[in-house]
Amino acid sequence: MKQKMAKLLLVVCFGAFLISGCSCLKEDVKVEEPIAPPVKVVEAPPAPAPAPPPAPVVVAPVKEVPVVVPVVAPVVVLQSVYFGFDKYVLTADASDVLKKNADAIKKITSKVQIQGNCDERGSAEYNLALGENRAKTAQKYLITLGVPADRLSVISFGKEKPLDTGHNEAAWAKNRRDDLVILK
Amino acid sequence: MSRTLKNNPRFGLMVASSLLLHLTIYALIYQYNKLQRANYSQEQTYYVDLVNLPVARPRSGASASEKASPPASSTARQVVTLPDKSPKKIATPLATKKPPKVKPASETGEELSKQMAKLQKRVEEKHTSSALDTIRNKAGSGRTGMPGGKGDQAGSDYASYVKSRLEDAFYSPMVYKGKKPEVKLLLRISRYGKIDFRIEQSSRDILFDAAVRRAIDMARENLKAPPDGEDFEHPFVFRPEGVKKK
Amino acid sequence: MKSALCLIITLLLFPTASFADPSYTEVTAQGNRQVYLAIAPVKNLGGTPNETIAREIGDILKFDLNLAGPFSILTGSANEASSGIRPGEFDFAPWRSIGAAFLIKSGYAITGNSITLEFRMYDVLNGKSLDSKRYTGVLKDLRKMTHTFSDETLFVITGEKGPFTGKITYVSPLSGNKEIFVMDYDGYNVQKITNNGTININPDFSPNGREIIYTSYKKGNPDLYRREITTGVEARISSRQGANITGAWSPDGSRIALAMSKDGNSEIYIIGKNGNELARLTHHEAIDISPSWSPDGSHIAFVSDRLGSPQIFIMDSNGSNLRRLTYDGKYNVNPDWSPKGDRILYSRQEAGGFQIYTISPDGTGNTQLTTDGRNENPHWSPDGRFITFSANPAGGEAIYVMRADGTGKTRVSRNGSRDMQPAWSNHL
Repeated sequence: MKQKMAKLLLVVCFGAFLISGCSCLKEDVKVEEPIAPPVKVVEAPPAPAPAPPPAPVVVAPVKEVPVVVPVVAPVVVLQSVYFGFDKYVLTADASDVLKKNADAIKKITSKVQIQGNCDERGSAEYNLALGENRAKTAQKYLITLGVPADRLSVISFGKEKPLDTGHNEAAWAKNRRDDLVILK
Repeated sequence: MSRTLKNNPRFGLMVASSLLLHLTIYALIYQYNKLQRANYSQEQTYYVDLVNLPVARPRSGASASEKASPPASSTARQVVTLPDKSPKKIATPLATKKPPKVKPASETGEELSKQMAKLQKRVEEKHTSSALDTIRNKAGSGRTGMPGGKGDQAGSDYASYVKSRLEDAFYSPMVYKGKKPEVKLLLRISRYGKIDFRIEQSSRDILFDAAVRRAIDMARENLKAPPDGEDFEHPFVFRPEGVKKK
Repeated sequence: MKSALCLIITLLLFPTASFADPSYTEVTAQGNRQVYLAIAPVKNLGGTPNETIAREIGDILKFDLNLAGPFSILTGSANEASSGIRPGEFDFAPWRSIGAAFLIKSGYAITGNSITLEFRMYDVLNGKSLDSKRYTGVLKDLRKMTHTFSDETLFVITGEKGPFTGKITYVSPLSGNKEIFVMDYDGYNVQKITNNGTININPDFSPNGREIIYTSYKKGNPDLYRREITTGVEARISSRQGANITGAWSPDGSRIALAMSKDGNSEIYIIGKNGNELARLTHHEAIDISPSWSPDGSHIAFVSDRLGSPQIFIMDSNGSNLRRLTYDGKYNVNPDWSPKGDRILYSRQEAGGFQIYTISPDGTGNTQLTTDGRNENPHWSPDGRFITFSANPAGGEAIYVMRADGTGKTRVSRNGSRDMQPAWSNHL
């Protein structure tokens, strides 16, 4: 009898313990559940390889106005190259401009600095990196077009040097650019 | 020792009755917790973010929805319970009572608003009843469900009156040091209505203690003297909102 | 059998033990509310009276303690004119009657160029003195001395010192180009740190508040510099080819995490405070920038666009155990780990602007703190109670501070230029 009683007690007690335990447990789980799963490194979108980039499907960066940027150099004028928002792949227009630039650069002996720039919308820090990628994309393409690598250097100004200080798409489109500057 | 215990027939009885008591308490706590959680999830609805739904991105899909699930589920619950009844009732008048030419808009409109009012009333009722339950639970928490308590019958009604006066005046500070600060004090109200108190246990948090003092200061202004013409003395414990004893 | 019984008894006893004494009636707060703190008019305690200084002291206390959060500030009291600031020299009753729970009384005495400040804090409901402090210094340290007492007030009342003696370093194009500046947290005592006419960005304080690091284009390339604030001694600590940007001082002050592009594209590295490379943490062809240390130095949060758009990631500070932190939003940047380790600030680009959010390091509890305009570069105050950030509510960008819950948004930078990228230092 006593034995039975004790056994019964044990069972009931655990029952009670479970009931009370349940509510606590649930809350614990809730807290722990949303831990982000370790992210597998997924390949980035078509990183512009040294090979000429494919024609991009990017939204056309607002009527590529062929703004001829008057660069310091008196002899040769190198045109700027424009990009889509948050993009650093070359558009078809941009590759055409770079081809002309490559020919021009080959005619001179000076070194050329490719300066990557961004529009004002993103964060200053991220834009510094983005501008650098834009400059490097152009650099790689120029090298594949036969420009000696040692004559090219890159720098990013992020959104620090806007060409147009307006706050509209037209201004932004002008600011998402690589300037090619002939160093003396 | 253990043998004497085992051989004592009263021990079994003792344990059994104690067990029964504790089971009741467990059940009450469980019930109480459930209520709390239900209330909480209703409030959560405000934070549902419909704009930032997960974007199609590798891996993000699954996790994003996982992430969104707690608030989403609560809305789901809301959304489901409400229309559950309304569509049926709204749909029928629209479908069957179509003919009326003059009044259709006003009548269905009336119907609708009546339905809505009913629904709203029901929701409100549910709300108040659950709120009442919560209050009841809270009020009786010290005595687990036996309103009025035992012994000090005369004082207990007045005690809950004082409690409600104090709660009206009591706001915890914006920040407090520990996770669950509490102040225990003995409140004395003379038969002439003069209030006096002695702090038995401070929260060791200047801000929280000040908030308690301030509450008593505020309550002082509109507190009626004990009805039975005797001095009233009762212990109170002050806790911030949302801190439950566990 | 014996042990089973014991177990049962323990199980039965356990819940009862955690129950409060049943005879207590529980009074539950209706919610949270600020406590009234009164700041009495500042008294002249000798020497030349100076109304301007008296007002300034009162204004500083009011500004600091109002931002603090738990207080609603009351100023002035009718029948106070003839009373003193020390215990026994005044009556608590009028303060009690206006609802004040706490009272700060203060006074000053000016002799020549030096000033003595005396502060006294009282618990009004108890009629008890809580704290008293006297500071003596030169007149120009008036603000610092007063902020020191604000810090002290928070310590007495909450057990944790305030951050009001801390400084904010930031970027300002005041002189046409972006230079690094330092000011008091409330916008006073502006000090120009760099003056090189080029681009200077991303300033960050060393944990002891004596040095800053920043990126400057002054030699053409965006290089990382370290500079001692008081002496102006400067060293170029990383001039590796390409970007040397978004430097973040480790919590122990011995190392710096930063983004460099010397190996092809922007990656996160750790260097010593003299510039020697210690470790490369990321290896990915996407952009990795803006590292921020956990307070124990064991983890680093950073921005990466490896999944197509910038998002916040966390890794161990040796580069392992990479995981993604933010899943909502398409553009999340500027992570800043809280000094207590429990939250990470970041800003998200949304339609029409940037908003500041916080999230737990485990990815839960994402909370939006700002709603309009462009709010960027959030940084915690050293005590984690406040946030400084840049915002442009009416077009002009400026430095703001607010409480950690997003309330009490207050502009602190006072000039009309577009001040940005603030970071808040520890007490000096």
